[in-house]
Amino acid sequence: MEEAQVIDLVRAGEVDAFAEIVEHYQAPIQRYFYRLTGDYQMAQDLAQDTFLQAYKGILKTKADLSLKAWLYRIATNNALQHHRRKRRLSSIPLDECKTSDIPTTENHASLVGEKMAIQETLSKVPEEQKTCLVLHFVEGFKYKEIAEILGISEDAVRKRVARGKQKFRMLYPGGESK
Amino acid sequence: MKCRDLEELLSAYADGELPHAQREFVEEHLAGCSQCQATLADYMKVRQQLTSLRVVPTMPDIKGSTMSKIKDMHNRSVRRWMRPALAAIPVVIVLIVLLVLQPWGSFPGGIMAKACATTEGLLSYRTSSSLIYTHNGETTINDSEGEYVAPDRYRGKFTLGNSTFEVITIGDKNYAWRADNTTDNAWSAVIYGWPLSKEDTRSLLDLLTKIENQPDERIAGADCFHLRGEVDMERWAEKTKATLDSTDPMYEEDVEFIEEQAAATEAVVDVWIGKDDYLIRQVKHNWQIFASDGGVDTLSYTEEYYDFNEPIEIEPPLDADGKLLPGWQLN
Repeated sequence: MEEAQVIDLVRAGEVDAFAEIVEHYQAPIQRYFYRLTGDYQMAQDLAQDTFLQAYKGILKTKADLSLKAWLYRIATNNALQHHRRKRRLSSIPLDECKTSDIPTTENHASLVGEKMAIQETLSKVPEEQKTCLVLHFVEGFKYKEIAEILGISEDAVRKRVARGKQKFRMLYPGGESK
Repeated sequence: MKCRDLEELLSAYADGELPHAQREFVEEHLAGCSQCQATLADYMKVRQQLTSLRVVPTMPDIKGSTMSKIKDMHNRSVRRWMRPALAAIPVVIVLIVLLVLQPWGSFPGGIMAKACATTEGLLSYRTSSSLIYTHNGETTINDSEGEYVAPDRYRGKFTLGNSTFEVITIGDKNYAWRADNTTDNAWSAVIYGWPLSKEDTRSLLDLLTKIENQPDERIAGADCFHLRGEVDMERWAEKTKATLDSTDPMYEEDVEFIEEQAAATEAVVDVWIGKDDYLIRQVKHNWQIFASDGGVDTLSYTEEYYDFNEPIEIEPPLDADGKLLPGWQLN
């Protein structure tokens, strides 16, 4: 079924129609949160919150929605709020990469080293830049699409991506120290 | 231009995000600049590192738990809004409550006392209601018919859009029947909206404020007193919030929703009471919900009461063996 049709059904009160949206986007949205937070359980919780907000949002809005971009916008706001809350609540350095609870073979020897280092380095990049990096490199969005999701200009996206990369290079173990 | 000033362009070049003219400019510069070639190589490496994160551990299936929460949230919001709409309030309860509360100071108390005495003795009556709900410019009309037999038997038949369903309440037992095409939306409204308890009724009427006499009117051939009151939405919000479970994971969402709705809603309730027999003939709710985008949703609900003391039979939907008839369920 077309997404527009699904949205119409949800607006008409057919709650079950929304399951199709959750089915389609649950993996990418959880993955997005996982890469932003480094926390497997948190990724699930934030994804669930995102779908609840999206459901309520669909009922409140009349406009045609670009569903994918809109979901990522809600998700990004949730991730930023989560980050602010975490920073406010704790003076302990961020627990950047909780991979121990991941039920996967990814934890195993050969992959652990470099991937953990990449994820850990990414977690230290400032939030706004990290969001752009993840949206572009992990989620595969073009700069223009990221601009739409974040509600900023394409130039601003280009700047954030470039600065994010510079920061990443600087922070990555063995990277430059400028 | 210094090489350092080119870093942003080089970054976008590495990502394939430069327009043609800028791409040519960068390539010309790269051909003769080893420093920028090294920077580009670094960016390509960052690209390769970050794209490796596309491979992620298998994420759990959260569809079931998410939909369960969404349905719960949906049902509660439907219930919240349908309650006043489905308020097929037994007139006896209405009048007892009105008499106890006597919310209109200047209204002759004797009339209320007579009305209460008259309706307390009612053995049965029928109701007919119509709900007109306009949301996002679309109008839905829902109708229902109800019957009441003292002291605690109710039967309701509802039509919401294309959906139909029936409810029978006898004492503390609620039986429900739904047609195959009944939507979850409509079904939720019945499951949660019927019947209103005495406490709910008292609570609803207790929310009325600024009650005033209106000019007398004729309803179904009977001259009636006409009273109008406004629903105090702040008190409504406080009372509704007090019914929530603060340990519920949706508690904060619910509180926010209630406060938003209370701030955005104006509601007026009209009551008509027969001048000769002191029976409540009609109750009407008018709700206006002001949306943040400037639109206004409206809910108008009218319930008429008639066939007072006519013979009405309400039996549980059971066969001779005491089993539920097909399609019925006991809630």
